[in-house]
Amino acid sequence: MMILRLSNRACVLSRSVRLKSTLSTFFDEVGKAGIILKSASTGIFENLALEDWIHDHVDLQNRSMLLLWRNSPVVVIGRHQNPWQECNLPLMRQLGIPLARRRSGGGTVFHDFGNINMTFFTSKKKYDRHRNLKVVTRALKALRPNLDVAATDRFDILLNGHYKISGTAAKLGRTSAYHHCTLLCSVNRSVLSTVLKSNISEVIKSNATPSVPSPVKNLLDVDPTLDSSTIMDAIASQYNNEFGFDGPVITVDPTHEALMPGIHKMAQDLQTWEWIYGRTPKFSVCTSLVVDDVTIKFDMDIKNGTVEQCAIEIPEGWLPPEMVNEFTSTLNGSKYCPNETAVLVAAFMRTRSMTEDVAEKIHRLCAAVVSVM
Amino acid sequence: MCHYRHLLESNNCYILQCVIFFSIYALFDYGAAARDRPAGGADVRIRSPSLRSAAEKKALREKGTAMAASIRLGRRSVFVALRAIKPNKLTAQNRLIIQNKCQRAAGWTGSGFRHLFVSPSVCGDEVAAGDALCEIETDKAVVIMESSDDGILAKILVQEGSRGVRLGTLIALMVSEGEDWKQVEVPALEAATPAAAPPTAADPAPPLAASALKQLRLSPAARHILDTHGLDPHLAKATGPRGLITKEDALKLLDQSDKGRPAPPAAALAPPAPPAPPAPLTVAPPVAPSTGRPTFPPVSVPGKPGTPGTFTEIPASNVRRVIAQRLTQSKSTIPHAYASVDCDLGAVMKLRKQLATENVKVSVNDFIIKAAAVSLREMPEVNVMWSGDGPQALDFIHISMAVATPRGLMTPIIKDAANKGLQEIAATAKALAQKARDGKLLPEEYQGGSFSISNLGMLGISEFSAVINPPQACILAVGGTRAELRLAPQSPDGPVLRTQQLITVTLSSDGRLVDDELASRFLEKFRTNLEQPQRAGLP
Repeated sequence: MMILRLSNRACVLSRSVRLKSTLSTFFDEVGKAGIILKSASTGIFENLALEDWIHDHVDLQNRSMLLLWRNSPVVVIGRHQNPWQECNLPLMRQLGIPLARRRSGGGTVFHDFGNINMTFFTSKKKYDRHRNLKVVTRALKALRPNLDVAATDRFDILLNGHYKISGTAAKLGRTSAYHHCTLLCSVNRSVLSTVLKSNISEVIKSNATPSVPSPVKNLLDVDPTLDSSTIMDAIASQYNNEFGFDGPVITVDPTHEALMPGIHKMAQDLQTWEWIYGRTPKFSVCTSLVVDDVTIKFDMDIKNGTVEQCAIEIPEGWLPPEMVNEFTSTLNGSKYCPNETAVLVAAFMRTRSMTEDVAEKIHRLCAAVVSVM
Repeated sequence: MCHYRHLLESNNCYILQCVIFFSIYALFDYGAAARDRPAGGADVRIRSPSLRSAAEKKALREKGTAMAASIRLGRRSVFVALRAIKPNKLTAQNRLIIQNKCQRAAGWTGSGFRHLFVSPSVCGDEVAAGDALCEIETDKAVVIMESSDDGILAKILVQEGSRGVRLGTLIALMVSEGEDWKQVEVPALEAATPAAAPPTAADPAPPLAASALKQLRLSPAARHILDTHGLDPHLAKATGPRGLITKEDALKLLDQSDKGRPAPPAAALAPPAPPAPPAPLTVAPPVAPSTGRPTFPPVSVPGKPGTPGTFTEIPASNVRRVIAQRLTQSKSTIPHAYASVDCDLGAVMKLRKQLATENVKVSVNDFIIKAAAVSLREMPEVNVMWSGDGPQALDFIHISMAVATPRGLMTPIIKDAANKGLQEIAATAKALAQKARDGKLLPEEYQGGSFSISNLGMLGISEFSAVINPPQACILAVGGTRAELRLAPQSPDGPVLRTQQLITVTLSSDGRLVDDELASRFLEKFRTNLEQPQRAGLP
């Protein structure tokens, strides 16, 4: 017994579900050609899973959809990017900002509650990123006619011709496609700029898709009366105007497994280390660090997020060479992850007898290695 | 297992095989447990094999051919081309060329291919038609490339995470089910490099008759095959009686040329080529480089019979679209009247040589522009424009000259040409042509002419007729110079044979404004002005 209250503009799905009914059958029942969805969750993995679920399971041949969502603070990298190169992972761990990898391409972005995400779902034939961005720019102009916002041919939206307020990424599947973009309304810009600046980008050699850094600005900075919910409503109504739809705005809870079978697993998959870090294209880290007044050179090749090959060069006499060899072979094959490295090094030290002096040096060596992870 | 009982009793064990196969896979988390593959790779999932009907599977096995399919990438979108490679020599042709445009999405700027991701541990996996094979990232969009046929993934040639993979590169090989995928042979790759070969002007193919030193005997079927694919019969090895090239020979040639050199090699056979076509580097593929299209998969080439199963879409640039629209409007709404005349360029050439000694560089085209302008000044009834219901006289003489640019035909204007001297016209023409080619013309530099001149002489055209640019009334189409022996009756010694440099100019005029009679008079005046440049006030 699906209890649905379809009011004028908004509709909330309750938790009781008719047997065998899913979100896609619900859309079929609604019957409208264009539906606007709002996510009830602010968890990045749940929202990314929702995107993927809609992309995989909803029939978009005769229907288009817009999904509006926001997240708590998180850094999202593109499908083929290198997180070590794109953001400051130690700082993020410190601040408690998680990292997510999305399935679409493009560059790295920082989300928080002041950022609106919009995903335009269409069939592959109707895939038109410029038109989607027009929805956004026209909505903003309808709200504030003096606002100078324009889309570029790289599918960014620039404010005052200079500041980037929106970036785009897309994914094309077999029959349908989605195009999603961000919109900076009132994001914490200081966090954004520090977190999106890698601490070790100079030492990384990689083939991954690089991000193109741009100066950013919040819409709130140019007009303090613009807030996220106003903008979301404006975008929703402009979407209907632009495409001639009159569908309702529906709030969806992405944790509702019964309504979207399989979505929970999708969200789990997106949180695995193998997806977030392991999907990094092959890269190498080559740096020299100063530990205890000695310069140590590290040279590591990392594939699929695990250290394939590790070479450490220490000055003579600082540590016995067999110890260094064993240390590097411990690292070989391990995940390029500080926790894992710490665990391995601890085990390494436990299984060998060494003087306190050597132990201290190993500790500091480990700290140095971890500082680039 | 009760529902399998009836299958066990059936003769056809294929269904059983694949059903069990399928159920085993269903029991385990496909891939994650069995292989060291990152879990949750939903994007590069090779899903469990399709449940093909037993009849199909049986048919495939009985065919007994090894089909290896190669998977390639194409330009701007992603092609999947499957090709059959015969490891053993069979006379029966069993090639399968399938092309799929995997992605054709509006809005792609085609900024180049970025990333390829193929799951590394799927060799030997069964692939069903429509399964996702790999992901490609380009232009901020991730695209899933799918397989267009059932089979087994045999070998991955381009590694995961590769970047900057070029068009037409072979990325993987597939074999059909039942074949030993470990033994798949990698096809000749040197032919796969696309338009990297510098564009060579297509060697003017000497007519086959000229190079035919031996009699060619083709069976009708062979002739049809070779014609359709534009192949040179000389390359086919004749195995029929008395040197007859049979259908099998033609098919073999077709297969070889597809393997060795994907583009139909018709025009590139200038020298009687060595019989074995796979020497592709010595004979540059004539087609693709000049048009910039990849040579593989075979694409239709203008002027050649369409390679079967292909089509190419050339997206129209804005300029072309506008040109197309205006030309159609012109040809369909304006009644074109044509008149031609031959002009003797003797005097012009002499004057030109004379000016060259004075270090003044002018071309024949500049003389033509000036002559036309002066003629318009002398016959203002031709210098008109259609104003909706009748002629409207123009008080300026601006000549539009047609310039061919990569973007299309543009017509920059030389303003007030009648009052300009030759040198000035020459300089203006050169500057405007360069601007047109760079795409830097301002609107006032190409809008508002009163008369157009189009010169195709330098391209070897002897004469042609052009389409009027509305709202102008006429356009003069100038052909190339040719030397002709003519009787010159004006000589005092009586008729003498003299070599004359002639050009043919054709005036297309708007019949409503400049009818045949007026056009003829205009042309006569133009000819006089061109043949006697001093009279026209030229320096």
